[in-house]
Amino acid sequence: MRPVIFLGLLILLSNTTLILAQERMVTGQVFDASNETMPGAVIQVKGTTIGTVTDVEGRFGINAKENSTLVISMIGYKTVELNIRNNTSVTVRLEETTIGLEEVVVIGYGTASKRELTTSISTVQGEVLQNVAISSVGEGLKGKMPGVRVTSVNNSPGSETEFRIRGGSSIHLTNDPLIIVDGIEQTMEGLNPADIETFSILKDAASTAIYGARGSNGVILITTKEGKKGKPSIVFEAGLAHQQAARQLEFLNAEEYLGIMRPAMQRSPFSNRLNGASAAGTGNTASSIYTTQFLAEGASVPEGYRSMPDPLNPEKTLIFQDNSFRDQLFKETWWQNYYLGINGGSESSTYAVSLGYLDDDGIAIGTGFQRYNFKANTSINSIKNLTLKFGVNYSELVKEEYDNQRDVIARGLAAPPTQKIYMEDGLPAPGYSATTPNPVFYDYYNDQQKKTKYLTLNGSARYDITKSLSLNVQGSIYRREYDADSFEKANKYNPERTVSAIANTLERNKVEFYMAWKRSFNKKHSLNLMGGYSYQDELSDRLTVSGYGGSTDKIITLNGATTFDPLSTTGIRESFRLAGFYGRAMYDYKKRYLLSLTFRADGSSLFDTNNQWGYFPGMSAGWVISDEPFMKGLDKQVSQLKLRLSYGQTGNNSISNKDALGSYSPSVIYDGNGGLVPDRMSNINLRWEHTNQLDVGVDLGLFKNRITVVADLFDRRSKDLLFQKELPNTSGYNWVMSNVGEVKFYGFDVDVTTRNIVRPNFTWTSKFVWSFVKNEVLKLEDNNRDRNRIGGINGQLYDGTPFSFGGLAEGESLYSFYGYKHAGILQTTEAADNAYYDDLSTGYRDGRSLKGRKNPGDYEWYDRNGDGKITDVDQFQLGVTEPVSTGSLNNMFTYKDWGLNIGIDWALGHSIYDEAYSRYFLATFAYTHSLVKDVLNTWTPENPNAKYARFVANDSGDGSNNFARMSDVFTYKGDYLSLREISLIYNLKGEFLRKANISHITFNLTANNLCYLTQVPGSISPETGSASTYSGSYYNYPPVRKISAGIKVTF
Amino acid sequence: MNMKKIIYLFTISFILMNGSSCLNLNVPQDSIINRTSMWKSEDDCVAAVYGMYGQLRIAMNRNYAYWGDYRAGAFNSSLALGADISYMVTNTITSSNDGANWASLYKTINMANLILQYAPDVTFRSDDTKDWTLANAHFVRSFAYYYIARVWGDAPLVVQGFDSAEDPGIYPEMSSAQEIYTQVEDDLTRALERMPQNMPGGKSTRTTATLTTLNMFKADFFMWMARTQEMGDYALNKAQEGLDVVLSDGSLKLLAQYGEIFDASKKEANSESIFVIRFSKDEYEGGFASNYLFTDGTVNAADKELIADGTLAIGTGGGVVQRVTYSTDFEYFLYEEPTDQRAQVNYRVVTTPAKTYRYINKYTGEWISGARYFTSDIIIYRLADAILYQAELYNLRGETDRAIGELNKIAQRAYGVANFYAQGYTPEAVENLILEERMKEFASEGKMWWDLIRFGQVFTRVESLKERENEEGVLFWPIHDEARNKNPHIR
Repeated sequence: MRPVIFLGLLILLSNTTLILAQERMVTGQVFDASNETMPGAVIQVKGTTIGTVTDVEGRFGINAKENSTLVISMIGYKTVELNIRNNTSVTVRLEETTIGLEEVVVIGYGTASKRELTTSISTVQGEVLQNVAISSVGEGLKGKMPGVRVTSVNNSPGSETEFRIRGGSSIHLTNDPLIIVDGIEQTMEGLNPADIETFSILKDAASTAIYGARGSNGVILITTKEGKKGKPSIVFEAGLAHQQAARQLEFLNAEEYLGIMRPAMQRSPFSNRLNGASAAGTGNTASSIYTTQFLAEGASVPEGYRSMPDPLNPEKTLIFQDNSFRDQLFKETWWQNYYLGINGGSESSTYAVSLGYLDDDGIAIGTGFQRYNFKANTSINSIKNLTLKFGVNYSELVKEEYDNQRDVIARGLAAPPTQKIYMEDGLPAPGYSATTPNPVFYDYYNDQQKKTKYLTLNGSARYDITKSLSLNVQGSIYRREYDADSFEKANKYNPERTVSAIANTLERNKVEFYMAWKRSFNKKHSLNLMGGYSYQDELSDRLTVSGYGGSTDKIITLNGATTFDPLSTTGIRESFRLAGFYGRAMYDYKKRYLLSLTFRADGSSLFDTNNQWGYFPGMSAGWVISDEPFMKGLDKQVSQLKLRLSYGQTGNNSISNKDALGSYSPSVIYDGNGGLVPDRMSNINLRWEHTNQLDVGVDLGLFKNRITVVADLFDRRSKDLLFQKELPNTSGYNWVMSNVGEVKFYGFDVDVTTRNIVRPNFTWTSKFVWSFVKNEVLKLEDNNRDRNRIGGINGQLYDGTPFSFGGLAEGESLYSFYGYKHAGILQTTEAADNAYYDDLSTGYRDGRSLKGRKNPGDYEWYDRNGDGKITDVDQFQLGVTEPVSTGSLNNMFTYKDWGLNIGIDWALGHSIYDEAYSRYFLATFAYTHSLVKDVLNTWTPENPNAKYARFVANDSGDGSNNFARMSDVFTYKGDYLSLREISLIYNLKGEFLRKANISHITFNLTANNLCYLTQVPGSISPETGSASTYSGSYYNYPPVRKISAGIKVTF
Repeated sequence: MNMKKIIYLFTISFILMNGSSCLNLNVPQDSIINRTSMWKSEDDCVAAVYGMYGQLRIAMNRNYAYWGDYRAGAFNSSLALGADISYMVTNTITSSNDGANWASLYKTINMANLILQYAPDVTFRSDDTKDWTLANAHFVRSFAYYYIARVWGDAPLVVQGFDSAEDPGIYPEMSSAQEIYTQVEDDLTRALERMPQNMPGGKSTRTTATLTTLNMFKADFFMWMARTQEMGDYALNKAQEGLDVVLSDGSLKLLAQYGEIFDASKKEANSESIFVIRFSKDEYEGGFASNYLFTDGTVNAADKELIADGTLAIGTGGGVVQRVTYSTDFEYFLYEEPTDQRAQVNYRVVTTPAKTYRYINKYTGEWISGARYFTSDIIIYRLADAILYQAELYNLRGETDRAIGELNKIAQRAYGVANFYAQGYTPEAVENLILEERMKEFASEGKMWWDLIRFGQVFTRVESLKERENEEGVLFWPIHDEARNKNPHIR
């Protein structure tokens, strides 16, 4: 610390040599609120470069003119400006800034100081989204919200992130929290991160009960920036980032590929494919998509080809191309972002208006994202006691993304290195099949664009009838319009020129009316009452038109089509209504004993008449122990200590309007006649899903709040779970929505903020966030099965006793997945012949296949039921898809005008069955599938200790399913630690800027997603657990690393 | 503004915004038919009949070939050894095999059950339409259970429709094949009672059931019952009743050109078909035949014009690779008689200087401007079937000459010669002639497996079943894992 102060002094002193003679010395002393002297405070004469710092006793001396203003600042304290008039000696008292436990928190329908809070609410300032290269709000919140796990499920540009507050509350229904922006229920997608003022995260039931039916998964309240009184301040920001895949797969090159494929094909049941037109076959011609051929006698190797001796007959020479489809698919690209905002106001009105533009090129071919934002918030106070606010938010998002990432990414990368990228006519070569395209082919033939427009209009009026009573009316209109157009040029797989247009609109109109009353008695008791009514109507309109048969590729819209496809052309309109009454009472005695009661009644049109209303109460209490007289002696160490307890009930209603009354679908045409078929089974007894949550928390501030800790333990139990109850397949339905059972989510979350070093020129603060959540199914409907299991597999032990596993069962946790476990590799034919019969092994040997037979090099699997056979009942739990523990550590350093933030985050406990990776071992698709480098480490008689079993051409069809079955071989612990963000910030201030009317300029240099420490191989993100990375709904888009530079100019 | 005014303003605006609807939570839905609005009118019930046939089409789309053809020994699969079809052709079917799942049939049955449950109480504009609705529901339920009993043997017998979570009987127990056959017979009888003589206006006479269809089904069912379920003369008499009706239907004629039966562009003119499941472009395209055709990549560059002139049928460029072909033995069998006009339709063999191409040439749909549309109907029953059943029945009754007479009707079209088969064969020999003519006449038409069982020759003619007579349930399909895992009563 001393060298830093010394250095600061030196710089400041060197400046003072420039002062003019008519100035005189002013001396003073700086204290904090508790009259402690403050060393290291910075004193500056306003409008000059003259400055100094206080000594160990808080004293300072500075030369200043009469009537000049001193600016006294210290990090962690509010800056004070003081006119010295003609004084020569001053005393300054600095107040701590309201960070930590004193800040004002937005709660539902009101605000409260953090001190008064009895519920579990965390706040995050919009500033965390500054100076980082992010495309969405969620991306910037990773690891920054205590108790909230923020994950990029899909890394495709412009995709929304997933939020999980305390793990969720439901088995089947959504676990997404309710997101309310300036009072309007919506997604974060249309928001520009730069417009956000604060986030409030409501985690326990007592805080979310005010949102009743939708509160079970927690609530995120977002407030956008409003105008501030004063001169207009203009902000311009620009950022540019270079981006690339943060993780990549390593494939075999052509030589390695042929070297391992041709011998494998020789051993296979279809060895005639060695001469065929295929990836490693030699029957390719100019019209084939593969290049492998024998070099004709006397011919030379064609341009762009390589050669090698045929591993099966070294006298012959193979010629082939060596292409990397990975490098065709993923590129290094640019990202840019611009923002212009103006903010200001007078006594009677304030305004904040902004424009934003973002362009993300996407690292994968044919993907990209652009966002345009306009936002305006105004507030008018010109009528006495009446405050009117109006806000507009318009945003347009243009996305280019794959409809099916598995097909374009996982299967696009299935193209072997010997496949052509372009045919001789210059057009991209097709891939193995329509759903396994060469990525360049996909990009060339598919044209699609998705555009989402958000429009939000909101107005509110607040009338203060008396000082303590106010009336509030709030109305809002929210529109989301989604348009997607797609066109496929005529190609080998689809000559029809399929064209489609989707137009979906969502209209949400809402009105709220509430009164708030606040009163203190005898300066000891204060009471705060609020009650109101909310009404929301929602209409969604979905239109899809699809046609084909156009004569040209030049027209890519529907007017080119000649035939419209009635099966893919639909129009659906759905309505939904929610009404609610709510109220809250907060009472405290001397701000020391706090009590809060909340109630909401919600009615939803989604249920049948008798089950529409649900009632959601909540209570919470707090005790500020640090205010007790007996704590007096400890106030140096313990600046704040509060205990909180809350309990409440919330709901989840996100079912569809088909679930209660069932539906018959008109989707069938038979012989030209319209037909109706049962689509959804009805269940008129459907009720609300209810969640009860208990929360015990502590807020602790130590050493003048240098260390603040907020910790909560919670136990969340959801009853009457709305669940797709599986039905026998003789019923005509797959499932029926039912209220089934009870599930528990429990754990804790901790948030520790420390100000490690606080010096005038140097600060170091840290924020540590840790959450832990587990779940357990407590009760399911009686169904005569073991633990009332739903789904899963039934089997028998060797002695005939039935057993079962999988699905959902009482006492087990959610999100499990199952597969086989390997027990070593069979080394010899004898061992293979003595191995268990294996239902999935074709047992091909010596030209014959024998189902169940094993070969040397195959895995032996564990026999769970001891019947000596490996069948589908011999599976074990391989892992769960949701992490148990997540956390982050952010360190922020400032040194003078420099700032440095380093953020890391991690998640533990989830697993990933990387089926997509396993497929690069299969050599499937008629022996044409590409292979990864790890295939070189498969078993051979010469390499008996290999990591993997033997390599077979088409393991999934002609082999023993060593790799193709769901097993522990390709199941990885998803545990990871991500170096999420490093940003270096420099604030440029000074006289020359002021002349240009610039208040200051901030430069930043940022790196996002620098690396992951994880055992998960390949290019996928370890952030999301998965029971299969090859499923059509899994997102294979790799995480993106960005290195960015930005500038922010404030006028 | 004073305070009162402002409070009034608030209150008025509040009321205006909410209107009177503030607590009305019954929002009308414009795009859904639910349990409160379904089964109210004739239109609902008629739409349900077409919906039911739509479900039957889904059930048969691929399974028709799985259940009726691929196990019969004539097929080869180039699919990987572990694929579903490869297990069928080698008769090593597992409980995870696609074809072992009965869900689509029970979905069809549920639709029939719902119609039979609700339609009787609905007021129809015309009695004929009501009869037609109920008769079709009985027929489809009967037809579906006929398949269930033959494919799985014992299975759940569900005769109550489900549309609500409170419905009892959602977890059915197993019933014996006997009980299921009884249900088939019962439903068939009711369908025959109910089916109007004249189809109500606008109702198709090929793609939904008619009296002729029902009688043809009757013949098929009772021939099966007579020969596999030991129902003897009772069943043979019933079968004869059915055949009598079918063979006297004047609208039915054998087409002169065998190939035209399968011409997807001439469906409406097909006077030989009795009952088909309709497939059509932009409505629903067929499934299993895409396995029969190869891709253009297989065709030698020199032979490409054969695609354009229609000599070679290929799947749409790069589609599914040819997965199912006939065995060499069966190819020889089909081509055994050089004059047989059916051979090139059953199995196209085209030899060019460059290559020999072979593919199953039925149900290949239409080729329209460079794209293949699998629009062929599945022909469940056609006149040739009735004629050969008549031959079989005569022969079983010892009327060998009359049997040969019927057989020759089919032979005449095939070989272009009258009285192709001379009189004087033994009944055993005629039995074999009929079976072999059926195998040629109905190759890849989903009948061969059932014929082999009915003629009692499945263990002798199917290589992969030889010496497996004593294997329990070897002629049935295993019950799919999904059925066992979702209902503890299914064993």
